Amino acid sequence: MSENNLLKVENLRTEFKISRKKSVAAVSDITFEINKGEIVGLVGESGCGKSVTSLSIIRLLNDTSGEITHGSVWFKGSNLLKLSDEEMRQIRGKEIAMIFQEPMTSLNPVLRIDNQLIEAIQLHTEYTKQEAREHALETLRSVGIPDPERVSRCYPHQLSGGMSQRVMIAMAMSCYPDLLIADEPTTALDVTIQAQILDLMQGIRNTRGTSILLITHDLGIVAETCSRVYVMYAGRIIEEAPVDILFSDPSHPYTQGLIASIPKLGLEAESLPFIPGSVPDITMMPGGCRFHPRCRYAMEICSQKEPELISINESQKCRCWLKTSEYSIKTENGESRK
Amino acid sequence: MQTSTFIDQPIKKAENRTKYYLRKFFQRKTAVIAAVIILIFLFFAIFGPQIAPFDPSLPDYDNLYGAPDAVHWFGTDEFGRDVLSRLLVGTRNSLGVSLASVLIGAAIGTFLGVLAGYYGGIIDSVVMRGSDILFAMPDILLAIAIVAIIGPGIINVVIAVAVFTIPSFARIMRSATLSVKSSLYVEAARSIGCKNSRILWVHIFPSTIQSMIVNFTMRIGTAILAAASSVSSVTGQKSTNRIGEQCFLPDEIIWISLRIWSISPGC
Repeated sequence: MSENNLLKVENLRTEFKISRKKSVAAVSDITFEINKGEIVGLVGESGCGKSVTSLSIIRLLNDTSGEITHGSVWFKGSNLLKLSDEEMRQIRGKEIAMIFQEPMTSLNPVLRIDNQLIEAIQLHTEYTKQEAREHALETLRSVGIPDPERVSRCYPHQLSGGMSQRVMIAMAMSCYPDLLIADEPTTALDVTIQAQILDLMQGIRNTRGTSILLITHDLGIVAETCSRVYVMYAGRIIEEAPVDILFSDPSHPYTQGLIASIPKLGLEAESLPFIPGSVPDITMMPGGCRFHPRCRYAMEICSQKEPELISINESQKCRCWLKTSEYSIKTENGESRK
Repeated sequence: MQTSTFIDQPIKKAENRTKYYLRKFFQRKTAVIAAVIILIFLFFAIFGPQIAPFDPSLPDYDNLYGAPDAVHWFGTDEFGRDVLSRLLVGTRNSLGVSLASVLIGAAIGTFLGVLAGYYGGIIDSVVMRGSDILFAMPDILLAIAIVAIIGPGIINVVIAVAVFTIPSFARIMRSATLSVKSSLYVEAARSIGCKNSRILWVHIFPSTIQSMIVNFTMRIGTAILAAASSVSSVTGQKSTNRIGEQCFLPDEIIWISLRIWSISPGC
């Protein structure tokens, strides 16, 4: 584990019980790492296990039927999965904080903003209530809220979505965590507010050196903010690449399909290219590579055996048979096979 | 200026909040009428013994089953005691017993229900199956049975009525907790490292209170009836009553309405 490394997830597998005896793996074989001060994207379509991954990292699955059955989550040298509940509680909010998709419902509707912020601060510091209040106002100011004194006395319903998300970010940042997990932080916001919130998060990274795990399905956001990207499909990480390479030279057929389906300005196409089919149901995953029923390069081996995530060059990893040495030759004449 | 008015508005409202609530309250006729009725009962509960025209337990054997007249406004009972005086003196006990028992029952039931809803699993099963057992018995019969076992007396009546109040609160609070528990702000609270106890009482409990209040008011009516019937059935209150302490409002109302007037409350 290198000096610069903050979080390293290894072979994580999270299963959900669907009946008394049967359980299905929502995500498995998840391996990724985040360095200090880095913004890393985790991309994938709905239901591919992005949120399960993030919830597994800070162990917030207790209320569901989910259970982490395999793997380890190394954070600053300790395995989060081995910590007691109390030790984990100390880490949540202080070292790893999270912001959620819907800011409007992430705040308790019956408590005023200041009380919620003070709560978050007092949980992890020795501040008195007065000191915590001042700190809360300062954090609100730092996330760009005008007139924090007034806003802090409001109830959540009196704030707009963008304001609420700023408050959520302020709450998450109030104890200066080292890692911020942002689970689709801008999905519920309109585009101009989106840009502001992303700016804010980048600003936080620049000033505080906070690492950010940005979970999203929006490739535009990824291109704008992240340095490295992990692409997920059906509970697996299928590609890892630096953001510029991901867009210029995607290696996995799924990623290629995703990039191709982004509308481009000035291009007058009849219809956008798309990936046929839909994400398989979690209980009826196809054998072999999970993408093969939708993949236009699918070969025999694809339906029989699942490929490993392998390095294809120094910065890029891909989970595809086409990239292995045994099958790579066929890529060249891939077209003739059809 | 334009932008800040949106924040200004709610604050202004908050400054004279009491006034705002009073104005809203007086706009609703039902609320005002209900408040007046409650105030009248409270008045009787506090000053009943002072304004009662007769000693509520003083028999007058020359005037048994007397019809209402200028002296005895509500008539007299089988011992010739003045019904109006008994009503006035009994109000305090009725209200006291029902409020106390519902308060106790609500507190215990809420506590159990919130715990059951939040933690689920074995706690949930034990609490809910326990409530099912209590629910299987008719409320008033259960209260009568408890009083029969632990003996008469005002404290015991309170306990009896409280016991049968518990399951309804436990069940309502459990379901309210379940719906709030999965909300995003509870998850967010957990993600900043809140303790379970704090999540329960600061984040979940306040949002469930409104369902409790509705049930609370409804249970008070039942509690009055149950308290009265458990006392009169177990102790044969009518014949053994010595002081006004054990006379209860609804009995007297039934008494009146059976004979002369059909007034409905409690019947």
